[in-house]
This record gives sequence, structure tokens and C-alpha cells, in this order.
Amino acid sequence: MTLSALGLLGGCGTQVLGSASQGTDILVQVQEAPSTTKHQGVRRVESFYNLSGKSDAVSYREKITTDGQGNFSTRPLEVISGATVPDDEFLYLQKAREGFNWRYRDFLVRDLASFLENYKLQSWGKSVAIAGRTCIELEIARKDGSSRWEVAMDVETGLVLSYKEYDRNEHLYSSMVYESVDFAPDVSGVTFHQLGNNELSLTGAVDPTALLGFAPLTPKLLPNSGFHFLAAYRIQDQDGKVWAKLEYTDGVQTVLFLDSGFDPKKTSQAAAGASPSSQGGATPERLQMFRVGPVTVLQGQVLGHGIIAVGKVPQLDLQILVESALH
Amino acid sequence: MTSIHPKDCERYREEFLVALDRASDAEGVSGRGVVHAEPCESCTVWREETLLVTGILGSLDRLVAPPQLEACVAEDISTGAGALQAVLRGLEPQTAPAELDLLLAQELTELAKEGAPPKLTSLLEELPRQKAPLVLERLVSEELADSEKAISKRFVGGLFRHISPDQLEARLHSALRSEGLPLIPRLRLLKWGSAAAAALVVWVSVPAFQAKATPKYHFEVVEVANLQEITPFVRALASDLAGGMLGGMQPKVESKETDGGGSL
Repeated sequence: MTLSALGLLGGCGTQVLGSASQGTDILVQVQEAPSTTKHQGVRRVESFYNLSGKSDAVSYREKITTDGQGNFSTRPLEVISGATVPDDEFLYLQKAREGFNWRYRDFLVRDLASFLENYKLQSWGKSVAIAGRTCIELEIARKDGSSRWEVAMDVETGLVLSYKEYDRNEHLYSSMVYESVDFAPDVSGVTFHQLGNNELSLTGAVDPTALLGFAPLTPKLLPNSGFHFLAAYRIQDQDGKVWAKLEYTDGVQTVLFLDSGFDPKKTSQAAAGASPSSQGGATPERLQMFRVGPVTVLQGQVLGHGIIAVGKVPQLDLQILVESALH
Repeated sequence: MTSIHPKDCERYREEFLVALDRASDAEGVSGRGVVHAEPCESCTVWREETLLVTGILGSLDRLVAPPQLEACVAEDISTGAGALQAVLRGLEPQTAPAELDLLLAQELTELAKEGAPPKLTSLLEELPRQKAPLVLERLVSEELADSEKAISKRFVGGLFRHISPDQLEARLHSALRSEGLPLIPRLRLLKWGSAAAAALVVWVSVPAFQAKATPKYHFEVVEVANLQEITPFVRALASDLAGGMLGGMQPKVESKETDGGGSL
């Protein structure tokens, strides 16, 4: 699996991949390596966002361990800079977000077909050393020019050892880099991640409605930037409320649509006399919108359904996504 | 006895006149076309009358038109005004017989065989060149600009126009009169009613067109200024996607092994 990557090493300058199959092989390696490559390492994670018009950034270190069987563990080690809460609280929260970070934070080819539709892969043919490993640099750009990734992939394993994410204005959004890595670690004694939200996959289920306890809303119009349905889950939040979670991806990025089901008490008529605090500050038939850097969130109650839509897409795309689910 | 066709009469009479025009003696052509003329009583009578008139006219003295007449005619034609022009415009155009083309071709051939420049050709060349009217140039331009439209227009114009049956007109009048309104106001009502219906269709459809650009939502969107207004669940979700930018809620963690806060 390393031959295609090794074949790209050497030479200087930018060159486009010689064959489609060669590029696809590399993408498959990138997609599978996190789950199939046993390793342990320390990596630095940085995020650069505009929050309420103010530039902000946060940087911290974490230790990651995988057993090559799909199990993983991330343990935040220290805050480097920019945490908006006390360091120990930040580290605790990051540990609590272990599953989410593993699934949605880092660069990953989440769906190969969608990726090939929306992104183009160029190889520089330039080798770099990351954490003492020989890596090959890849530039991955969205075809519509909205984002770009610089990725360094370990030649032997295909594991991404660093990435940088840029928007269309070449603003650096986020980055990650391994500072050390061991591909033959002793994983005994490591507590791997366990699902704590009673998550249940609905993909392929015979009767998803029975598993959820309600018929979920389903968007009919996806963001018109190449997103496709990826998976559906039944999850529970901290209060025990059941949500249907639908995942959509463009191959790298993720858009989530969540529906808590119909509650007659949450219709506009029933909620007319309810206190605002009980609705989380949201007025019925009204969605609250806020942004965290490139991430847009819509949340609220519409037609008796609790709805959340979130993703790195424009607000209008999320509005259309939600509205199409109501029809 | 052969049957007589009107075309035969026409052809016979044309040939008779041509021969009469060439012959110096009208009696010399009296026997032409006897095959057609004899059984055709109409052409027999016509032939006799024609010979009689030709003989009378041929015996008359020839008079020369006064010079003023030629000048008056030329002036009248060139200015495009006057009664003569009106009369000329009102005349029914006559189509030259096909035999004229044959005769002309024969004439030119014979002249060419004589070795001298064709007299007719030289005479034609000496004629002053007439400029085509401006309207012709416009029509030709329109034709060339959209030849398909022009062809269609001519085709449609040449279609036989059917006359509506009388019953339809009677039915229409009856329907219009049944409501007690006079015919003309009712026709006006129909006209304005059709216009109103068309306007209604446009008015209804315009919002539909506008809706494509501005869809109607079941909700309104309010931008949140204070993130504390957001439910902790959603705030944590956004923070996770943003790489931990926001301080989130304190998750209910049952065990260090469970993923209580990474709830998605």
C-alpha cells in the first residue's frame, strides 16, 4: 500500500498525479489509516476563528492512541494558549468531546465517492519529515475553491501526521501536527473510547421509526455544494432526550441535522404561554442562528420539532436544509 | 367527336392571334386550327368576329399622336401622381403567355446565327436602368434576415380561408344576447374579461417566480448576540465542530470511560 506513495516521492515542484487510480489509492489509504494503523503519539491542535467579529485562537496538546482495530483514545495534555475557560476545565471538556473530535474535527476522507466529486488531489511530490517520519505532502482543494487542505501523509502507513485547513481567502482555520509518533506502542492499560450517548446506528435498520420512537424529519434539499447523506443515528443528549441524527458529507466536511421528534407541547400554540427559559431562549417557529468561525448553527423549535442544523456551510444552505425537512 | 376543353379554346385563340399578327393577309389564317374551331361553336363565332374587326381596323388611316400626349404621359408616370397613375395601379396585372418566352428565345437565336450582334440585346442595353423602389429593398432584406419566417408567412397567406358556418355566428349572437346586453357592449366585456383573466394569471404567477428567489419559510431566523442564550447541548456541539473554541457546559460524566460530553 506504500508503493503508490513512494512512487510519488522525489522531484521538485508541483505535479499533478499521473493517474486516477494512483490518486484513489492514496485517498483510500488516508481514509482507512486512522482505524487500521496501530500507533501512539502526541500532537498539537490549533484552531483559528473569528468569534463575534473578534479573531481568536486556541492551541493545545493531546495524546492519541489507536489499536488498529478501530478503537481509539485521546487524552488532552496541556493548553498552550487561548482557552476561554480555565485550563483544567478546558482539558476536561476536550476529553468529554473525545468521540466528536475523532469523528468530525480532523481532516479525514469520510466518503470516497463524495470526495472525488467535490475535491481534487494534487501531489507535490515533495517529502517532508514529521515527527521523524518521512511523509509526502498533498494539496487537497475543493473544486469550488471554498477550502483547501495541506496534508502530510506518512509514506509507510498512510496516516495523516499533519494538516492545515484554509478558506477561500487563504485564512488558516485549523491545523494539527504530530510532534512524536510510535507505530509499535504498548496499548495495554489504555482505556479506549466508549460510546456514552446510547448511540445506535439507523443505517440499514428495518424500522428506524420504531428505534427512534418517532418518524424523523428528513431534509430533501441538501447544501448545493455536493453534500450527500452518509449515516443516521439514534442518540441521547445529557437530559436523556432522544434525537435522530443525520450526517451529510461532501467527502471531508460534515453537516448534521438533528430532530427530537414531534412534541405537541412544543407547537407555537402550546408554547405561547411558556416561559422563554424553558425553551432555551428560543421562541417557537423561530430558529436561533450563530456562528463560530466557519461553523453555522441553527437551532430551535419548528412545528413541534426540536431541530438543530450545523455545519461549515452558509446560513442560507442550512435554512433551505431545514425548510425542506418540514415538507 | 372529341370533347372540348376551355384550355383548348384559349390555346387556339392565342395561336390564331399570333398568326394573325404575323400574316399580312387575315384571310390566310382563316383555316388555322380548323380541327378545334369547327366543332367549337364559340371559337367559330369568335374567329369570324376577330377577322372582321381586324379587317376593319386595318383599313383605317393611321394617325400620329400629338407630341404633347407623349410628354403628358411621361410626366404623369414619372411623378407618380395623377389619374393616369391611379388607373394604372388599378389595372389587373396580366401574365405573359409562356409561348412568349419561346418566341423570344427563338428570335435571339436567329439573330445570333446571322453573325451580327443581336439587335434586341443591343436595344435592351440601351434602355435606361430603372432603380428598384426602396420598399423592395426592405422586403428583400426582411426575407434574407429570416427566410423561414418569410416562407411561413407566404405559405399561411396562401392558405384557403374558410368561412365560418352561419350556425356558429348565429349561436354566438344568441349567446351574447341571452343576458340582455347589446351585442357591442358584450363583445367589449368579453375583450376586457379576457384581458383581466390574463392579468390574473400573470399576477398569480409572479409571486411564484419571486418565490424561487425568496422561498417562504416556516420559521424566521434570529441571530444570537449572546451565546449564553444557546442551549448548552448546541453550544457544545458548535464548539466541538470549531475545535473547542467555546467553553461548553459541564457534561454529566458517569464514568471516565464513557463519552458523556462528546454527545454527538
